[in-house]
Amino acid sequence: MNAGRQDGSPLMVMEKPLRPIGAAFPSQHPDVQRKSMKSETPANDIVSSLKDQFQRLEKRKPSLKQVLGPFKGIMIAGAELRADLEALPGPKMTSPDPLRLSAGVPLLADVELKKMLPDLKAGIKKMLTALGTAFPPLKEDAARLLARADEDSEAPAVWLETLVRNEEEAISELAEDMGLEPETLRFVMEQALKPHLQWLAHTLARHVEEIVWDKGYCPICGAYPDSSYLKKGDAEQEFLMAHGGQRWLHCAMCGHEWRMRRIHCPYCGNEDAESMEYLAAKETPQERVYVCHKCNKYLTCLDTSELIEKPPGDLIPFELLHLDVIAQQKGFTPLAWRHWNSKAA
Amino acid sequence: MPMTFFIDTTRCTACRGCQVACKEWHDFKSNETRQRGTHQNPPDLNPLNYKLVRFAEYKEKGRVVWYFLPEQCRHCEAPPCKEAADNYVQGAIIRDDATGAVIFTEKTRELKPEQMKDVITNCPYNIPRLNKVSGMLVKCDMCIDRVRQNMLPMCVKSCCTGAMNFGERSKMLKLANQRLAELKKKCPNAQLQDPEDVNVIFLLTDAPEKYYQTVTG
Repeated sequence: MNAGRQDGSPLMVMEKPLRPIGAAFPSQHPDVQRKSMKSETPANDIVSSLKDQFQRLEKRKPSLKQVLGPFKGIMIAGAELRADLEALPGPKMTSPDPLRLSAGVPLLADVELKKMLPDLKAGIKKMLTALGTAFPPLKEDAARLLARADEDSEAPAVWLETLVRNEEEAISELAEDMGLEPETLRFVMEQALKPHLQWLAHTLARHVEEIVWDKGYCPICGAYPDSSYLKKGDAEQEFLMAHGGQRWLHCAMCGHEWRMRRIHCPYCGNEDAESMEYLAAKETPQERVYVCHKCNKYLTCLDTSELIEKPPGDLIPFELLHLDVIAQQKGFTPLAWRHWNSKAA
Repeated sequence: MPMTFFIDTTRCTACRGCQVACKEWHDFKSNETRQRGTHQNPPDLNPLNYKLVRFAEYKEKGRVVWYFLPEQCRHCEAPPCKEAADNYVQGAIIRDDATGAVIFTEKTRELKPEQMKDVITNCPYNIPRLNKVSGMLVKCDMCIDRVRQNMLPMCVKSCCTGAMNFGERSKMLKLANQRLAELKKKCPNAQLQDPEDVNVIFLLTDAPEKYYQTVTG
């Protein structure tokens, strides 16, 4: 009997794995079905479902327990905060210029976020408390950021804008002012504000549903994806059921998911199938890492057509963490550096 | 929450992909068979076929009707095979709490011939078989090695028509009842087989005995 793959088993390079090219895409446009992957589950169910999914993942892959541990508390606190935010009326936004979006400018690129956000204080306090518990050495830094938010109620929205626009200089300046390492500050800020950004993305996703978006970065916040997955099409077919997978990318920052052609490097736009491939262990072909030999970037990918249940997008990067190790050992770099795939973190 | 198969026979085209995929996953060699005038091949479940598509054909009102039944263990809620085996060898047949899979273990070797017979005849669906080479009683294991890794059983993964479905029991029951309601409009005889008692629920459109004598428990 075939045994399930154990973590760390040797990986093999699959030959010409990406064929047939575009089998799942009858049209040249990757955006035929561009509905966002918004969850229809009630907010409170999201929290219990996330807890349940953590439990299952830990059972399936006990080796992940240690790395999941601290993020688990933060992500559950984030889901609870999201549940509270979902009860609020959605942010108001004038219809975006479709031409700008089509030209590749993300929805939130130049929007004043403070006008769209509710009072962030309670949410930030919740998240920073969870962060201090999950990462005790950061407790003091978290408290300092919270004190800043107390002093200036508009600061958190500005921080979120800084993160969304990836303004490194502004982060460095604030870090220096607070006596922190810029990367530490970025991490703390991100954890404090991510649920708010996810809520914004979730409620504003309708603005980007109809546009053609063939970029590798998020149409809402502009960040690169931290993982991707393949899924069967939603439509019920009368006779044969396609097993082929649409590829969806999951934003590392706001959690938005968007569809993209499979033979297309999300980083450099390379479409030459000969210079791209994916790596997978023989026993778990559904756990893949797609690499591009032109730009040397990689993106992990879970083929969910093989699975009983698709894990939530936020957990897929953890599920495929062993592939980050392999890809980096082979000299590739991730599209999005995350705290769990970066030595610096 | 046990896992459940929902098998919509109205979508089955008897391609036997499930049958072959099951053999492949379990590394079973092929059976030596001969032409018996039916596509049902091999003729019955056996130690190297945990899954078998049964064929039944009739002439009704001048038309040929052909029924397909992708047969397998039902992974009963209260498995009678386990009840029987527990009387003789504890642990010979177990039910996995997390998945609801009914598993025949190596301890089935310890059952005496008449005890094995008791286990086999206790199954209302005529599923268990004796593997004379290993001396074990055998049947579908729900691909429990795959299911524990969140992967679909092979028969479900290979199905290209949507006949084979697999998931949490509540979801499958919902799907089964939705499909039943839809079909009832066209086929008044449409029915689910023993949905309360088993975790492999067949949707049929005619009398169960027309598909196979022990479709109903």
